[in-house]
Amino acid sequence: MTAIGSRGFPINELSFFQVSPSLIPSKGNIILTTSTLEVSPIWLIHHIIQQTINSDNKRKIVLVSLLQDKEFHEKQLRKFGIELKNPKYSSKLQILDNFSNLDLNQNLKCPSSFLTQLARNISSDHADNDGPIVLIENLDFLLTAASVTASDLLYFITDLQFSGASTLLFCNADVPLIMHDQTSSSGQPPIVDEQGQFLFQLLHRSVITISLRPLKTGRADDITGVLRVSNGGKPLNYAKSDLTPSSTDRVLEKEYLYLLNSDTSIRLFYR
Amino acid sequence: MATSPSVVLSRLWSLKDMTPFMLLLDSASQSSTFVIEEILYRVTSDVNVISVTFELQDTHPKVTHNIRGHRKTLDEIQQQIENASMPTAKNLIIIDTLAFIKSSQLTGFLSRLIRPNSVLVATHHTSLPALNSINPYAPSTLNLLHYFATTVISVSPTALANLHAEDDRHRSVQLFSMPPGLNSPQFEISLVHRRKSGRSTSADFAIDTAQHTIKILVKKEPANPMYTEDESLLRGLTTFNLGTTDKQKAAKDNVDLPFLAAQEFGQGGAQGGAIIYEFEKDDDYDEEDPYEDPF
Repeated sequence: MTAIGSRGFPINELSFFQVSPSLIPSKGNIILTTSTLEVSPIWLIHHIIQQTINSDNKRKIVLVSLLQDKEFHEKQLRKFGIELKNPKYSSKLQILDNFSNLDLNQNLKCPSSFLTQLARNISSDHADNDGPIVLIENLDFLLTAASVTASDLLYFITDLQFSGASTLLFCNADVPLIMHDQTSSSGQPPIVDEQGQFLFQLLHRSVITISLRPLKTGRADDITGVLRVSNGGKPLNYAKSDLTPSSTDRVLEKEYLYLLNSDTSIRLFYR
Repeated sequence: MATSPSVVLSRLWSLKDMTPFMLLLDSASQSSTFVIEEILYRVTSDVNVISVTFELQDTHPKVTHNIRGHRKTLDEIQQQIENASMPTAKNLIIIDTLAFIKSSQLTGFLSRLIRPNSVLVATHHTSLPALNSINPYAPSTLNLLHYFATTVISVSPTALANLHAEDDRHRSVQLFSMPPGLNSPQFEISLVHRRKSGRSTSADFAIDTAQHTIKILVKKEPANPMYTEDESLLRGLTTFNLGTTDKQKAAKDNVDLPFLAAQEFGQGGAQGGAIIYEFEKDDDYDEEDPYEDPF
């Protein structure tokens, strides 16, 4: 963190940990990012991919996309300087496009087999015991789209954790999805309970929770939204008995304002 | 037998006092994992620690048997606990979340784990929305757990200075926009411990799991603003002195208000609307005169 001032600092200097410069949690751990309709987390996904792919991290990155097709991600990543035709990148990053081949009637008749298949696709050819880095965009969409329950998804995530994956989940936390409408007299949609179950359970399991929200005061030209990085329900160093520097690391809890420019340069400001 | 609440807590956590079922109630803003860590820090090494995990992936070094609950039936889990527990030594059974156990099966499962030589520690996440039970008349999971837990520990983040800040924080958590400072190693708990005798102890504590300290919290009862006098309101109204000294207040409080006796019932008080008449020294009462009888 060097350039601190009214002009803010570039996104490259964003860190989630006090010591480690990585944006990825250690093996088997989860980072949960919630966002709302006004503030898409796509830029954060691509930024994390860019930072990780360019670091000396040997682990494979898998991006599971449920609401965007592969072309979209390739095009966006190109803006971040990642050309997927280049074997240097394509060997490290795998995009599982579940948007184009998500046939809701076919795939989701049996949601558990769909999720099993997805887990198999993710962990295929990751024989190395480090496990992959998995970024999943809008997994909670399955709760609304099909007869998938929160516990189906949680079992799926537990499987991923067991396989040693570091999982970054990007989910929606719009008010109608998570809060009962107290004024409505008709029956409440079951989605609120399922989404709440899913997100709260993830909150308890994650080591870091990130939230992207629009400004409370309304839209502004020079600020896109608020980015909060906070502790998750699971202590970062749980079960670590040794006191190596990495086991004393802490979450860098901070609140930032961020601005997405049209030229995809992203600046952060301390709040 | 220890009676001071702060001693009770440390004795419970180090398993010197055995409580059959310790229920941990946590929320999204403060996880009970720190409490579990602290208990594991305090127990002696001769305790047989069995950990049943649904959400924690790492095993604490003090855990002797780790049982993963993932994709297992309750009978399988119970069988594994059975095999892992020792009949003579103290057993500590930790369940990291009860969320994956259906509320209809919960009591049966837990009661089979309660033994005289074991302590069961289980976490219930209070933030999770209750899933619809098949039987609408069945009590909620939380009620069931409260009913047969012998020790209930509710975990909450360190209280903020004022209620508005507290409300804001709660609202942010409800919206999953977590403010910084939650889920920290410093937090507060409130303990309710029911002894075998039926007596219960309750107290609030501030816990620091980084320093391993327990500090008892004495919550100040906020004075009811309706009944407190604000002297500053009287200032500058008139040139008279409207204030009251403490001595005057005490004297005022000691005055019996008139007709108080009429509001009492029973012996010495009003009975069936009777008139209470007490003779004073100047009263002229003639016993012979029937019309003088005040009763």
